[in-house]
Amino acid sequence: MLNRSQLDTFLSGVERAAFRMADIATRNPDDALDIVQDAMMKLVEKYADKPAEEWRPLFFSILQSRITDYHRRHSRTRRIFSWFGKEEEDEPMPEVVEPVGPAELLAQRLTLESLIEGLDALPPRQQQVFLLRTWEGFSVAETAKIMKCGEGSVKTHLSRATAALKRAVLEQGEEDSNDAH
Amino acid sequence: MTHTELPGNADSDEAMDVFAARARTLLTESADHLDGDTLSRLHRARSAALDSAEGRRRMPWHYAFVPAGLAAALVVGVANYQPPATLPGAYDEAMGQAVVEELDLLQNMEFMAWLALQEEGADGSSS
Repeated sequence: MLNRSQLDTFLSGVERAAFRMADIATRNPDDALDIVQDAMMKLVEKYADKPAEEWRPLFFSILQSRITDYHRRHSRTRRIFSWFGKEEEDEPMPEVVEPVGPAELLAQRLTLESLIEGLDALPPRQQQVFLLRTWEGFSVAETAKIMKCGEGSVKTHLSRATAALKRAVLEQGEEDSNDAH
Repeated sequence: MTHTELPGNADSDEAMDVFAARARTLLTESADHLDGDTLSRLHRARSAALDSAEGRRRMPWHYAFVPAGLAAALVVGVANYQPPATLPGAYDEAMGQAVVEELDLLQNMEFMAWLALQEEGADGSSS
Protein backbone atom coordinates (compact mmCIF):
# COMPACT_ATOMS: atom_id res chain seq x y z
CA MET A 1 0.00 0.00 0.00
CA LEU A 2 1.28 3.46 -0.95
CA ASN A 3 2.13 5.62 2.04
CA ARG A 4 1.14 8.87 0.37
CA SER A 5 1.63 11.11 3.36
CA GLN A 6 5.13 9.83 4.13
CA LEU A 7 6.19 10.02 0.50
CA ASP A 8 4.72 13.50 0.14
CA THR A 9 6.73 14.68 3.15
CA PHE A 10 9.90 13.13 1.79
CA LEU A 11 9.47 14.55 -1.71
CA SER A 12 8.61 18.02 -0.45
CA GLY A 13 11.84 17.90 1.55
CA VAL A 14 14.08 17.14 -1.42
CA GLU A 15 12.28 18.78 -4.31
CA ARG A 16 13.92 22.21 -4.02
CA ALA A 17 17.46 20.90 -3.94
CA ALA A 18 16.59 18.46 -6.70
CA PHE A 19 15.23 21.27 -8.82
CA ARG A 20 18.29 23.47 -8.25
CA MET A 21 20.58 20.57 -9.16
CA ALA A 22 18.64 19.84 -12.33
CA ASP A 23 18.44 23.54 -13.14
CA ILE A 24 22.20 23.98 -12.74
CA ALA A 25 22.74 20.91 -14.91
CA THR A 26 20.32 21.86 -17.68
CA ARG A 27 20.19 25.68 -17.43
CA ASN A 28 16.56 25.27 -18.37
CA PRO A 29 13.86 25.45 -15.64
CA ASP A 30 11.28 23.58 -17.72
CA ASP A 31 13.63 20.70 -18.43
CA ALA A 32 14.70 20.75 -14.78
CA LEU A 33 11.09 20.41 -13.64
CA ASP A 34 10.52 17.56 -16.07
CA ILE A 35 13.57 15.77 -14.71
CA VAL A 36 12.48 16.26 -11.10
CA GLN A 37 8.92 15.07 -11.80
CA ASP A 38 10.26 12.07 -13.67
CA ALA A 39 12.52 11.19 -10.75
CA MET A 40 9.61 11.58 -8.33
CA MET A 41 7.40 9.31 -10.42
CA LYS A 42 10.05 6.68 -10.73
CA LEU A 43 10.76 6.68 -7.00
CA VAL A 44 7.10 6.43 -6.06
CA GLU A 45 6.35 3.84 -8.69
CA LYS A 46 9.33 1.56 -8.10
CA TYR A 47 10.65 2.15 -4.61
CA ALA A 48 7.72 3.30 -2.46
CA ASP A 49 7.77 -0.07 -0.71
CA LYS A 50 11.43 0.31 0.28
CA PRO A 51 12.28 1.54 3.80
CA ALA A 52 11.97 5.34 4.01
CA GLU A 53 15.63 5.78 4.92
CA GLU A 54 16.58 4.35 1.52
CA TRP A 55 14.48 6.85 -0.43
CA ARG A 56 16.98 9.72 -0.37
CA PRO A 57 19.94 7.94 -2.02
CA LEU A 58 17.53 6.20 -4.39
CA PHE A 59 15.88 9.47 -5.35
CA PHE A 60 19.17 11.23 -6.04
CA SER A 61 20.40 8.21 -7.94
CA ILE A 62 17.35 8.43 -10.21
CA LEU A 63 17.80 12.18 -10.50
CA GLN A 64 21.45 11.87 -11.49
CA SER A 65 20.55 9.18 -13.97
CA ARG A 66 17.97 11.47 -15.56
CA ILE A 67 20.44 14.35 -15.67
CA THR A 68 23.01 12.09 -17.32
CA ASP A 69 20.38 11.01 -19.87
CA TYR A 70 19.63 14.67 -20.50
CA HIS A 71 23.28 15.46 -21.17
CA ARG A 72 23.56 12.45 -23.46
CA ARG A 73 20.61 13.69 -25.48
CA HIS A 74 21.53 17.34 -25.56
CA SER A 75 25.28 17.66 -25.61
CA ARG A 76 26.68 17.16 -29.08
CA THR A 77 30.17 17.97 -27.87
CA ARG A 78 30.10 15.21 -25.29
CA ARG A 79 28.88 12.80 -27.92
CA ILE A 80 31.77 13.73 -30.19
CA PHE A 81 34.21 13.25 -27.32
CA SER A 82 32.70 9.86 -26.54
CA TRP A 83 33.13 8.81 -30.19
CA PHE A 84 36.83 9.45 -29.83
CA GLY A 85 36.89 7.69 -26.46
CA LYS A 86 37.80 10.83 -24.56
CA GLU A 87 36.63 10.71 -20.98
CA GLU A 88 36.52 13.44 -18.38
CA GLU A 89 39.07 11.47 -16.37
CA ASP A 90 41.61 12.24 -19.09
CA GLU A 91 41.51 15.98 -18.44
CA PRO A 92 44.80 17.24 -17.09
CA MET A 93 44.83 18.24 -13.46
CA PRO A 94 46.01 21.83 -13.15
CA GLU A 95 48.97 22.26 -10.84
CA VAL A 96 48.74 24.33 -7.71
CA VAL A 97 51.92 26.35 -7.32
CA GLU A 98 52.35 28.84 -4.51
CA PRO A 99 50.43 30.46 -1.68
CA VAL A 100 48.55 33.65 -2.38
CA GLY A 101 46.21 34.28 0.53
CA PRO A 102 44.10 32.81 3.31
CA ALA A 103 41.50 30.15 2.55
CA GLU A 104 38.73 32.14 4.23
CA LEU A 105 39.24 34.98 1.77
CA LEU A 106 38.58 32.66 -1.12
CA ALA A 107 35.41 31.37 0.48
CA GLN A 108 34.27 34.92 1.23
CA ARG A 109 34.71 35.88 -2.40
CA LEU A 110 32.41 33.08 -3.46
CA THR A 111 29.00 34.39 -4.45
CA LEU A 112 25.98 32.50 -5.75
CA GLU A 113 26.54 33.98 -9.19
CA SER A 114 30.19 32.96 -9.34
CA LEU A 115 29.35 29.54 -7.94
CA ILE A 116 26.60 28.92 -10.51
CA GLU A 117 28.84 30.23 -13.26
CA GLY A 118 31.66 28.00 -12.10
CA LEU A 119 29.39 24.96 -11.79
CA ASP A 120 28.00 25.64 -15.24
CA ALA A 121 31.51 25.47 -16.69
CA LEU A 122 32.26 22.10 -15.07
CA PRO A 123 31.92 18.80 -16.91
CA PRO A 124 28.59 17.21 -15.86
CA ARG A 125 30.11 14.42 -13.77
CA GLN A 126 32.25 16.84 -11.78
CA GLN A 127 29.25 19.09 -11.30
CA GLN A 128 27.10 16.21 -10.03
CA VAL A 129 29.76 14.90 -7.67
CA PHE A 130 30.39 18.37 -6.25
CA LEU A 131 26.67 18.93 -5.59
CA LEU A 132 26.09 15.49 -4.10
CA ARG A 133 29.14 15.60 -1.84
CA THR A 134 29.26 19.26 -0.92
CA TRP A 135 25.61 20.21 -0.86
CA GLU A 136 23.69 17.03 -0.14
CA GLY A 137 26.44 15.70 2.11
CA PHE A 138 26.53 12.18 0.71
CA SER A 139 29.64 10.21 1.64
CA VAL A 140 32.17 9.17 -0.98
CA ALA A 141 30.74 5.64 -0.93
CA GLU A 142 27.14 6.87 -1.24
CA THR A 143 28.07 9.26 -4.03
CA ALA A 144 29.87 6.47 -5.86
CA LYS A 145 26.78 4.30 -5.59
CA ILE A 146 24.49 7.09 -6.75
CA MET A 147 26.79 7.97 -9.66
CA LYS A 148 27.42 4.30 -10.46
CA CYS A 149 31.18 4.79 -10.46
CA GLY A 150 34.15 3.99 -8.26
CA GLU A 151 35.03 5.85 -5.07
CA GLY A 152 38.32 6.88 -6.66
CA SER A 153 36.43 8.60 -9.48
CA VAL A 154 34.31 10.47 -6.94
CA LYS A 155 37.40 11.77 -5.17
CA THR A 156 39.01 12.79 -8.46
CA HIS A 157 35.87 14.51 -9.73
CA LEU A 158 35.41 16.37 -6.45
CA SER A 159 39.04 17.48 -6.30
CA ARG A 160 38.94 18.76 -9.87
CA ALA A 161 35.58 20.41 -9.44
CA THR A 162 36.64 22.22 -6.28
CA ALA A 163 39.93 23.34 -7.82
CA ALA A 164 38.12 24.62 -10.92
CA LEU A 165 35.56 26.50 -8.82
CA LYS A 166 38.26 28.12 -6.73
CA ARG A 167 40.10 29.19 -9.84
CA ALA A 168 36.87 30.66 -11.20
CA VAL A 169 36.42 32.64 -8.00
CA LEU A 170 40.00 33.92 -8.12
CA GLU A 171 39.71 34.85 -11.78
CA GLN A 172 36.46 36.65 -11.08
CA GLY A 173 38.16 38.49 -8.23
CA GLU A 174 41.02 39.53 -10.48
CA GLU A 175 38.62 40.76 -13.14
CA ASP A 176 36.70 42.76 -10.56
CA SER A 177 39.90 44.38 -9.22
CA ASN A 178 41.04 45.18 -12.76
CA ASP A 179 37.68 46.78 -13.49
CA ALA A 180 38.02 48.85 -10.29
CA HIS A 181 41.39 50.17 -11.46
CA MET B 1 45.67 26.60 -21.16
CA THR B 2 46.50 28.98 -18.33
CA HIS B 3 45.07 28.61 -14.88
CA THR B 4 44.97 31.12 -12.10
CA GLU B 5 47.18 29.78 -9.35
CA LEU B 6 45.33 28.78 -6.25
CA PRO B 7 46.45 30.06 -2.89
CA GLY B 8 48.69 27.52 -1.24
CA ASN B 9 46.49 26.81 1.74
CA ALA B 10 43.38 27.19 -0.43
CA ASP B 11 43.81 23.61 -1.59
CA SER B 12 44.19 22.14 1.88
CA ASP B 13 41.49 20.09 3.61
CA GLU B 14 40.71 23.05 5.83
CA ALA B 15 40.28 25.35 2.85
CA MET B 16 38.15 22.72 1.16
CA ASP B 17 35.91 22.62 4.21
CA VAL B 18 35.58 26.41 4.38
CA PHE B 19 34.97 26.67 0.65
CA ALA B 20 32.54 23.73 0.65
CA ALA B 21 30.68 25.15 3.62
CA ARG B 22 30.30 28.50 1.86
CA ALA B 23 29.13 26.79 -1.34
CA ARG B 24 26.64 24.71 0.66
CA THR B 25 25.23 27.81 2.35
CA LEU B 26 24.81 29.64 -0.95
CA LEU B 27 23.12 26.69 -2.65
CA THR B 28 20.79 26.08 0.28
CA GLU B 29 19.80 29.74 0.34
CA SER B 30 19.13 29.70 -3.38
CA ALA B 31 16.92 26.63 -3.00
CA ASP B 32 15.08 28.21 -0.07
CA HIS B 33 14.30 31.27 -2.15
CA LEU B 34 12.81 29.71 -5.24
CA ASP B 35 10.08 31.82 -6.82
CA GLY B 36 6.41 31.09 -6.23
CA ASP B 37 5.77 29.85 -9.74
CA THR B 38 8.55 27.26 -9.49
CA LEU B 39 7.35 26.12 -6.07
CA SER B 40 3.82 25.79 -7.38
CA ARG B 41 5.02 23.74 -10.33
CA LEU B 42 7.07 21.53 -8.03
CA HIS B 43 4.00 20.99 -5.87
CA ARG B 44 1.99 19.99 -8.93
CA ALA B 45 4.76 17.69 -10.11
CA ARG B 46 4.82 16.00 -6.71
CA SER B 47 1.04 15.56 -6.64
CA ALA B 48 1.08 14.21 -10.20
CA ALA B 49 3.78 11.70 -9.29
CA LEU B 50 1.84 10.49 -6.24
CA ASP B 51 -1.49 10.38 -8.11
CA SER B 52 0.03 8.52 -10.99
CA ALA B 53 1.63 5.95 -8.74
CA GLU B 54 -1.60 5.46 -6.82
CA GLY B 55 -3.48 4.99 -10.07
CA ARG B 56 -0.99 2.43 -11.29
CA ARG B 57 -1.09 0.56 -8.02
CA ARG B 58 -4.90 0.48 -8.01
CA MET B 59 -5.15 -0.72 -11.58
CA PRO B 60 -4.11 -4.35 -11.10
CA TRP B 61 -6.63 -4.71 -8.26
CA HIS B 62 -9.43 -3.41 -10.46
CA TYR B 63 -8.29 -5.38 -13.45
CA ALA B 64 -8.53 -8.56 -11.33
CA PHE B 65 -12.30 -8.30 -11.75
CA VAL B 66 -12.11 -8.29 -15.53
CA PRO B 67 -10.84 -11.86 -16.03
CA ALA B 68 -13.03 -13.04 -13.13
CA GLY B 69 -16.06 -11.47 -14.79
CA LEU B 70 -15.17 -12.95 -18.14
CA ALA B 71 -14.72 -16.38 -16.58
CA ALA B 72 -18.08 -16.15 -14.81
CA ALA B 73 -19.76 -15.07 -18.04
CA LEU B 74 -18.18 -18.00 -19.83
CA VAL B 75 -19.37 -20.50 -17.20
CA VAL B 76 -22.92 -19.14 -17.34
CA GLY B 77 -22.83 -19.17 -21.11
CA VAL B 78 -21.67 -22.78 -21.28
CA ALA B 79 -24.19 -23.89 -18.67
CA ASN B 80 -27.08 -22.29 -20.57
CA TYR B 81 -25.88 -23.31 -23.97
CA GLN B 82 -28.39 -25.29 -26.06
CA PRO B 83 -27.41 -26.83 -29.38
CA PRO B 84 -28.80 -25.17 -32.52
CA ALA B 85 -30.69 -28.44 -33.39
CA THR B 86 -33.51 -27.36 -31.12
CA LEU B 87 -34.38 -24.50 -33.43
CA PRO B 88 -35.82 -26.52 -36.35
CA GLY B 89 -37.91 -28.54 -33.85
CA ALA B 90 -39.36 -25.40 -32.45
CA TYR B 91 -39.94 -24.14 -35.96
CA ASP B 92 -41.75 -27.34 -36.95
CA GLU B 93 -43.88 -27.18 -33.86
CA ALA B 94 -44.82 -23.59 -34.61
CA MET B 95 -45.56 -24.43 -38.22
CA GLY B 96 -47.67 -27.43 -37.14
CA GLN B 97 -49.61 -25.25 -34.80
CA ALA B 98 -50.25 -22.77 -37.58
CA VAL B 99 -51.50 -25.55 -39.88
CA VAL B 100 -53.92 -26.82 -37.23
CA GLU B 101 -55.21 -23.31 -36.67
CA GLU B 102 -55.70 -22.85 -40.41
CA LEU B 103 -57.65 -26.14 -40.64
CA ASP B 104 -59.85 -25.09 -37.77
CA LEU B 105 -60.48 -21.78 -39.49
CA LEU B 106 -61.30 -23.60 -42.72
CA GLN B 107 -63.74 -25.89 -40.93
CA ASN B 108 -65.31 -22.92 -39.25
CA MET B 109 -65.69 -21.19 -42.60
CA GLU B 110 -67.32 -24.30 -44.09
CA PHE B 111 -69.62 -24.46 -41.12
CA MET B 112 -70.50 -20.80 -41.40
CA ALA B 113 -71.17 -21.21 -45.12
CA TRP B 114 -73.42 -24.22 -44.46
CA LEU B 115 -75.16 -22.33 -41.71
CA ALA B 116 -75.80 -19.40 -44.05
CA LEU B 117 -77.24 -21.72 -46.67
CA GLN B 118 -79.46 -23.32 -44.08
CA GLU B 119 -80.71 -19.94 -42.97
CA GLU B 120 -81.37 -18.85 -46.56
CA GLY B 121 -83.22 -22.14 -47.21
CA ALA B 122 -85.29 -21.66 -44.16
CA ASP B 123 -86.13 -18.11 -45.19
CA GLY B 124 -87.09 -19.24 -48.72
CA SER B 125 -89.33 -22.00 -47.55
CA SER B 126 -91.04 -19.75 -45.11
CA SER B 127 -91.73 -16.99 -47.69
